[in-house]
Order: sequence, then structure tokens, then C-alpha cells
Amino acid sequence: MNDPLEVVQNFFKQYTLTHAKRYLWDSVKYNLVDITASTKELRPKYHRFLLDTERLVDAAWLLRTFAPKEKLNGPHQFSKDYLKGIRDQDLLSLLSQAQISFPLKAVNEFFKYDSLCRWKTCFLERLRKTIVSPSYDLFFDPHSLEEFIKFSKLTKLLEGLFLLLNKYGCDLEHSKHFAHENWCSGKPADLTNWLSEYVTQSDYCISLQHFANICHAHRFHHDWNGYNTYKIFNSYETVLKVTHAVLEVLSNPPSGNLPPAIQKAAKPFKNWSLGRVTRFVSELLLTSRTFSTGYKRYVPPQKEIELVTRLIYLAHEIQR
Amino acid sequence: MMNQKSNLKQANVIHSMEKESYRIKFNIGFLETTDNHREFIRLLYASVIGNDALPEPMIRNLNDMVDDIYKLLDWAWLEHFERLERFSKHGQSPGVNTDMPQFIDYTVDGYYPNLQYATWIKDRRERYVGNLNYLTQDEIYAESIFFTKLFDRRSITDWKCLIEKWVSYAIDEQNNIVDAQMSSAYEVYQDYMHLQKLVECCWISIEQDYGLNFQDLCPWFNKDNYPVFSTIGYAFNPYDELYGLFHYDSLIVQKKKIDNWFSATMDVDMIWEGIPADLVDFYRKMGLMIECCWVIKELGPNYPNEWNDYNSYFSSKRARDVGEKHRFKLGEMKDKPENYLLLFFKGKNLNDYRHLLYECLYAALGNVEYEPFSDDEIKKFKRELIMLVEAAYLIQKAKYPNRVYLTE
Repeated sequence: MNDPLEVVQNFFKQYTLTHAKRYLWDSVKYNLVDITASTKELRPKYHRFLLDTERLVDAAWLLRTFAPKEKLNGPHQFSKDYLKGIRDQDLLSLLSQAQISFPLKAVNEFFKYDSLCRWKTCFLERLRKTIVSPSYDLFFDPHSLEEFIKFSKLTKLLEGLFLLLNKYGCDLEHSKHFAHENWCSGKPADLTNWLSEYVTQSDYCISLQHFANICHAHRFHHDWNGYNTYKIFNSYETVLKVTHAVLEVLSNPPSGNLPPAIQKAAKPFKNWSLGRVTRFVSELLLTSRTFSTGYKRYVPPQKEIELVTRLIYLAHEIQR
Repeated sequence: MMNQKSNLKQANVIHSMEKESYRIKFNIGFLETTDNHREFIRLLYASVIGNDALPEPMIRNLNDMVDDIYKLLDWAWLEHFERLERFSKHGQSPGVNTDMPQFIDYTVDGYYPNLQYATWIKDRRERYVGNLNYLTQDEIYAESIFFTKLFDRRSITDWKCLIEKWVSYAIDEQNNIVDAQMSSAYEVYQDYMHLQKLVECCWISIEQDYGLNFQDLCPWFNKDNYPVFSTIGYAFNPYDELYGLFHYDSLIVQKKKIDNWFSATMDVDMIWEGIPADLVDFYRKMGLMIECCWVIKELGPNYPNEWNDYNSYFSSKRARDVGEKHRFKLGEMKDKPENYLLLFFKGKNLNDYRHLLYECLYAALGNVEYEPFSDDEIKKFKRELIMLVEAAYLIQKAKYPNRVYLTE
């Protein structure tokens, strides 16, 4: 712990950013419902990951408290295009534009509302203990999206530290983390197949219902009948998968050209990227009215909601 | 040391910073026996060095048990930390002559009071009914020895990290800590031993607080010969206690008090004229002194190292020392007062002396005779007691030549 940067570096040597986010997402999901029986073999893996995450949070705390004052420029000072590129490819999914230019801001934001001690005892320790032995007093509240916020903050911290390493002059090879895989939807190659299977199994109403769940969580703050956090999380995953898949198909059509009708319908999505969809859908949850504090900004994104709906519809059209 | 201190404040080292953290050890789920926790640590160790995971029922308790061990670590660390702080504040206790007292006229076996290994194993089983298996004799008499070992090995944070790693191997059905090259098998075994000792250490500490008998705790006491005026603290540092005896009353005053007391005792018609509580208090002091002298005589030069430190500081002025020309009844033994202890305890032990003292007190406070004893015996006892006070005075004086007694 004498050198927090080394801790961060070791962390990213062990886990790629994508995997780290994936593990984190899974562990948060584990804390909502008892699914240990099926994941017995994965337990130690997740447990060690969470231990390492705790060390990482410790290191972040030290970095924030004893941050070097002078601005250090590493060998890789990223160009704006490069940063935009990895953001579009969803390697950095939740960081804001300002945080990307100044990653230390992400670390600061992380500790703004909750102290290190609170993070550990209320979130990280519970995650870890649930992995060891799930019990109901450890589970998160199934009627709030608080945990999604915690997840997003921790993700931002991961991404921030990831960028920060290069700012402080540590040589981190991005190519390994860049292995063209999405933290939520997996490898693009598998995604196309997944979509065709998915579409044959389920009607487009189901996908739309998933999206509607998220919009519902976004708009209404008191009516949680029939919704719980685990369901919302599932919807979030499905929506991301479907939209990522259709964007993938649009950019690399499997059988040469797409039919003209589809091409016409796909026009508005020409500039859309995986990152943009992830950010948008996450934003819907983060600005949800369920929170009275913390996230007060409320944007009525009617037009975007319509566009995403059309995108989901398109996914089912293509496969027909 | 400074590092550790700032760590505690900043990084939430203590697992459960409750208001009653001084009561941590009483909140741990065992008071009766150490079996549960020791068995748990054994199973944990087995699953950490073996490929198997802990059995499923154990895993359900894993979180709670690990919490208990964290609490134990917290407790040990708080105790250790207090010692470190005291040390950093006062430093090594000043003005102690570590070579004193010198026992030159008789020899004690160099290992005494520690029992031989074979005897110790048997004795430990009898005294602690199987609750202690790993602590050595030294560690039982002084926890600080174990705490120092524990935290020299690893800081508290590192211990907790280590236990977390152990947990990750306890739920792992495919790997073990040695093959994963986290640490060597020998290291893991050492850690295991330390954790076992930690549990035992907490148990014995709780037992002491609940008043474990002296004969169960120290091998130099037995059921026929044990102190009653001393608390555990006194029995653990008789030199310091003797020093305290001569702080308020000088040697001359003490001798006068003995004189008064015994004249009231010997004369059946005379009743103690002063305040009775004063006499009872003095009686208690004499009892304490006899007990301290007995421990000093018994342990000889092999007394524990901790007796060279003291924690008590007096804020009032110390009673005057006697001058150069003072006539000691000890005579030639004045230069080797510790040898008088051997004579004093030649035919009698603590029990016998307590009986004598009590009869003297009883007779002094009323118009009664000291029943089973003759006049000569009482006279002899008086003479011996005065010589013992002198010896005790000389011993503590040699022990603390320049002791600091005034602190702000």
C-alpha cells in the first residue's frame, strides 16, 4: 500500500477493464437474489475479485488524499480522437466527458457522498460476504435502484483509475483491454448469432417490455408493484444486448447488403455507437425519480426513447 | 509505530469501532470454552491448505466466525497499541536497577518457575481443562509477549487481508493456498498457530477478569499456599508493590506502627486506641508485603522481565528514606536482604503467616487472647516481621535507585 499506483497497475494486469466491469455487475446481481447453487465454482473467483476491488478502492482513497500536485504527463498522452474512439466502443461506458479529460475527478466523485469506511461496510463487504454465504440480511434492498448508482460509481472509478494510470506515467497497454468485447453483451461475433436465436424465441413485445420497464423506473418514483431491482437489472441487460446486437449487424451485415427497406429504417442510427446506447440506457436509470437525493437532474428524453424503441423494433425486423 | 497510529485513524483498521470497544473480548461468542473457535480455525486451515472447500454447514457460519476472529484481532491490537503508546510516552521505566535483587547465597534452578516440558503438558491440561493447547508458559503469565509476536509478524491490516485470502480458499474446491503460491506451507502453519494462540489468549484473559484462582494461573502458587491480599496485578509485579508500600510511610513509621500494634496485641487488657479501620488497613498492608516477599523469594533471579517496568506514578511527595546511621535489626544481612526472605519462610508458608496476622489483629482489637499461639511465638513473629519490613525496604530501594515518582 506504500505505492497505490502499483496496486492499480497490478489490478489491471490481472483483470481487463471489460472483465472487471462484468464481474462487478454479476456480483451486484448476486446480492439481489440467491443464485449461489448454480455458481458454486465461480465463488472463489468472484471472492478474490472483490478482495482486489477493495484494495483498489483503498488505493484510490490514498491517491485522492495524497495525489501528486504537479501534473504528470505519461508517455501516452491520449488524443481526443482516441478517447472518443474507446468511449464509442464502450470501453469507457459511464464516464462523462469532463471526467475523461481529468480522470481524478472520477475518483473525487466516488468519495464525495460516501466515505471509504461507508463504501467498505455498506457495499463492498456485503458483496463479499454474500459470495461466501448468501443470507437475507446481507441482500440489498430489492425495491430501490441505490445499488445501480453504487455500481455506476464503482465502474466510473475503475474507468477513471484506468485512465489515470497513464496520466501518472505508468505504462499500461490498452490493446489487451481492447479485445473487442463488451462488458455487458459479450463478443460481437457471438452477438449476431445470439440475436437470431433470441428473436426466434421471443416476440418483439418482450424486448419492448424490457425497455418499458426501464422507462418506468425512470419516470415514476413510487410505483414499484411488479417491479423489483433484479427485474430492472435483467431488463437493462437484455436491452443492452439487443441494441448492441442490432448495431453490430447494421455495421457488419452478415449477408452482404441489407434489404432497402431496412437500410432506410437504419438511417437515423448511422452515427450511433455501442457506447452511446449504453450511456443513454444507464442514464435513464441513473436519473430515475426513485432517488430523492443525489441525482436530481431529470431530462425528458422523449425523442431518444422513441429512437431506441425503433432500434429494438429494427432488431426483430432484420432477423425476420 | 506512528504509521500504525495514523492508519488506525484514517483507514478504519478496527473492525467494529463500537463505543464499548474496551469490552470487545466479552462480545465474542465464547466464554465457556475455546473449542468452537479452535475447531473452526482448524477446519479453515485444513481447507486452506487442502483442495477441498469447507463443508457446507460450516460455510454458512463462515462470515460470523471470521467476524469473531476480526474482533479478536481488534482486541489484541487495542491492548498492544495501548502498551506501545504507554511505552512511547514514558519510555523504558526510568530508574530501575535490572540486576537487583541479587540472590547469591542460594541457587534456583535456571528454568524455574517454568515447568519442564513434559510436566507442563500435564499441568496445563489439569489447570485449564483443555482450553489451552498452544500457549507457552511465558505467554500465559504475560499476554504482551504473545501480542508482540503477533504484530511483529504482521500488522493488523495485513492479518485481516490474510484471513480474507484464507476465506477465498476456504470456499474454493479446486485450489489451495500453497499451490497458488500465495505462501509456503510452513508460513501458513505458523499463521495457523498464531490464530489458535490468539483464541486461547483471549480466553485466558477473560478468565483472569472473572477471577481465575492464583493457583490456576501461576505455577508458584498451589492450593495450600496462595495470596489473598494481592490482586493479579500485585502478584505480577511485587517490586512495584513494595515500592508503593514505602511511599506514604517511611520505614521508621512502619516499624513504629508494628510496635503499637503488637503492644495492643500482647496486652490482654489493652484495646487498640486508634481508629480500627487504620489498623485493618495496616494489617492488609503487612499481608500484602508478606505475599510480595514470598513471590520474590520463590522466583529468585528468574522473575519475569515485565517486573522491570512499572506503570504507576505517584503525584505526592515520597516519605523520607532512613539515614546512613539507621540501625537495622537485620544486622549483617543488611547488605543481602534477599537472603533474609529465605529464613523468614523457612518453616511457614503464606497460609501460616496469614493465620498469625489474623490472630494478632483480632487480639489487638478486643480483650481476647491469641488462641493457638504462645507469647513467645508472637514475640518471635514481631521480631521477624520487623526484620521483614527492613528487608522489603532495602530490596525496593536497591531495585529502584532513581525511580521517578513525580509526574505532571
